[in-house]
Amino acid sequence: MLPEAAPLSFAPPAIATPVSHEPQAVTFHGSGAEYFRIWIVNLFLSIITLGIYSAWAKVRRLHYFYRNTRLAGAVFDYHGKPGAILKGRIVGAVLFAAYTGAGAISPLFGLGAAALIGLVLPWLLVRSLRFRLYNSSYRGLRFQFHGKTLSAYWVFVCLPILSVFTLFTLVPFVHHRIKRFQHDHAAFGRTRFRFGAPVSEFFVTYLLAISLLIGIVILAGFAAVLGMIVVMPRNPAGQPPGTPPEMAQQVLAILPFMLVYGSGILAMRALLMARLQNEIWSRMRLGAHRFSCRLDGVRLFGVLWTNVALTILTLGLFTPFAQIRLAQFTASAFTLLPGGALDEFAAGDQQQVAAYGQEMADFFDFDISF
Amino acid sequence: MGSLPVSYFDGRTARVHRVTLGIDAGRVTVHGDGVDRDEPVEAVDITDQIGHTPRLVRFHDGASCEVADLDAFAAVLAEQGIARSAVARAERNRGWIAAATVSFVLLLVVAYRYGVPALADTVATHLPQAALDQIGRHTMDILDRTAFEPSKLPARRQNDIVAAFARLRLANGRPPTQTMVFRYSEGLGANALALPSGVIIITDGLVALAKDDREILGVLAHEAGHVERRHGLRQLLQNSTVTLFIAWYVGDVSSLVATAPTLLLQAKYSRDFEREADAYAADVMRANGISLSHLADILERLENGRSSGRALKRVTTDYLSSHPTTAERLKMLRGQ
Repeated sequence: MLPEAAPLSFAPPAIATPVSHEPQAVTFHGSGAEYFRIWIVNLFLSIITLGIYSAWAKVRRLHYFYRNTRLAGAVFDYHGKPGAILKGRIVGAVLFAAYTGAGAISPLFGLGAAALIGLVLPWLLVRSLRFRLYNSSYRGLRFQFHGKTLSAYWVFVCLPILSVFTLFTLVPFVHHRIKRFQHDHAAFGRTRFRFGAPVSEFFVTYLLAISLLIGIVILAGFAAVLGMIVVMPRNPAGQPPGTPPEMAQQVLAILPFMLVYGSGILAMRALLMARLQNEIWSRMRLGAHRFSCRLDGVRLFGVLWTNVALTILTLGLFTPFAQIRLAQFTASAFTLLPGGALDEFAAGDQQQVAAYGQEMADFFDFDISF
Repeated sequence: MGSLPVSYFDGRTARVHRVTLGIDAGRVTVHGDGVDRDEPVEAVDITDQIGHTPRLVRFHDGASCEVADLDAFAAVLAEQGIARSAVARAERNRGWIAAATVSFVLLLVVAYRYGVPALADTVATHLPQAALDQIGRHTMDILDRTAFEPSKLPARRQNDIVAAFARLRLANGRPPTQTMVFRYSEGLGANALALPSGVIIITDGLVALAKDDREILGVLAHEAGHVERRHGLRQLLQNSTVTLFIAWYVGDVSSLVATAPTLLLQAKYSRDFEREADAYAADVMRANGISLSHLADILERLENGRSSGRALKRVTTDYLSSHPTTAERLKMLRGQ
């Protein structure tokens, strides 16, 4: 048997460095029981400090998830500082309060504030992406984001407005452009990611999702009628003053509808997420390297469904277990297909980035997840 | 003394260096695989232990060591007097975890039972009457379009009831400020509703059901209680707080899924308000010399008039019900 070829390098061959061309699976090593302890301590400290600790809690949570994600013998790391995150959150909270305050004074004020926030949002999003990527590292190299603010206005403001005028038929196209903006300007060290997913795949996925939605609506309609027939009294006349239909009747009557509709929404989410992630990552390039992503939509639906059900049934105590299950499931679908030695990635120029972009964007619930 | 094998990254390339990390006498040393560093401990950042994740020793120039052997590393650090953070110790302490979990659940219960109602009460009492009027007008418009038709009662009968109501003295000793309107409704049958603005709607069905005008006054006093205590608004605020919280908590799931448990949680609030309005009505009736039995009588008749939903009634627990059971209300009113 011949020894496997060592990577071409002038440095002495490193012991146990993974052979370069073998596919490298992403693995996630966190456990629900372990994360529960971290989660509950985070929550407790955040509550007793009236939310101030939540910035530290966020960093601790990200540390746990990043450092449990392993690829080719090394883990990811997060470098965001709690102080910077707290500052961003305070600015975000002030903006948010100003926005709600303006809305309370007069609807016109509120509309003005909303327009203003819409104007700064693309700017915030670019800062958010920069902060998040710059503070993520792997093997000692930082990720980076090089997207320009001006392009963000085109992608996040102009295109969505355009899609309204085309009766939303352009939504898959807009989604494609958002994903392209997000990934095509990302880099690991000085090596750029190249986004290659075709827009046609987004249209196909959306068509499937809409068909699924129509099916769900029909099924949910049947479920609603069924619930009414079985539970609701035939003649609701003659009830005590001010009585709405009895709460138990209401709940029982809408239960079948809720189950069908809720499950359907989760199924649609699983379909969109699985198909788009698979397509995006299987066509992504990073220098000479490629990826493979094989998320199974049906199994993803199972994970999402049981997560939601158990979270509700346990008054939220299942949350940390749910997060770990989802991370485990998604990580296990990813594989890196190296096109050369991973050792050859090099650092890019250092950029300093402030946290408020991300934190303000998070505050307005306009987060784009990777 | 105190050295262990780790992965080292220089921060310039992604290459893994297999090196030996040593921490001793205030110095951090890294040796092997072409690396040779020696730095004071204060110049490096040693990350805290979080679960079983690798710990990192980060140098100021962007280089870092990834340490996998956590126990050996903790022992090395302990020799140098570097302990785990208080948070990391709490995460490993069963007592703390149990205490945090119990306090979290207790906090949820306390917030639900006392926090949300107190908050809603404060907000509701500070909302200007103009806002209440706006909400009231809006609700009335919707009701008129969907549930109500104009009343078929003769104007004289309506005036009599309005006059009798105006002669009532409410709990504060003053005449009622609430406006009364009459409507006919096929769907709602015999019913009375109070809007946050202070409008009390009474259906023709209810007037027909009453054998004595004092019964109607009892119902009106009950509704006036809802208005005086701002129940409609408080309920709206409480319910939306609970819904928002659950939707936020369950996370990015369609908030519709979150409404099922919410309805159950809201039922209790609604029952509390009915009890309060009954107690208010009882006070008003006593002060005006009207026997409580009148309200009890009409309640009983309404209950008997409920033609269906009997099968369900049997399985309805007190917790699921939005109104206290009629039996319980009659017991209170008849002082048994």
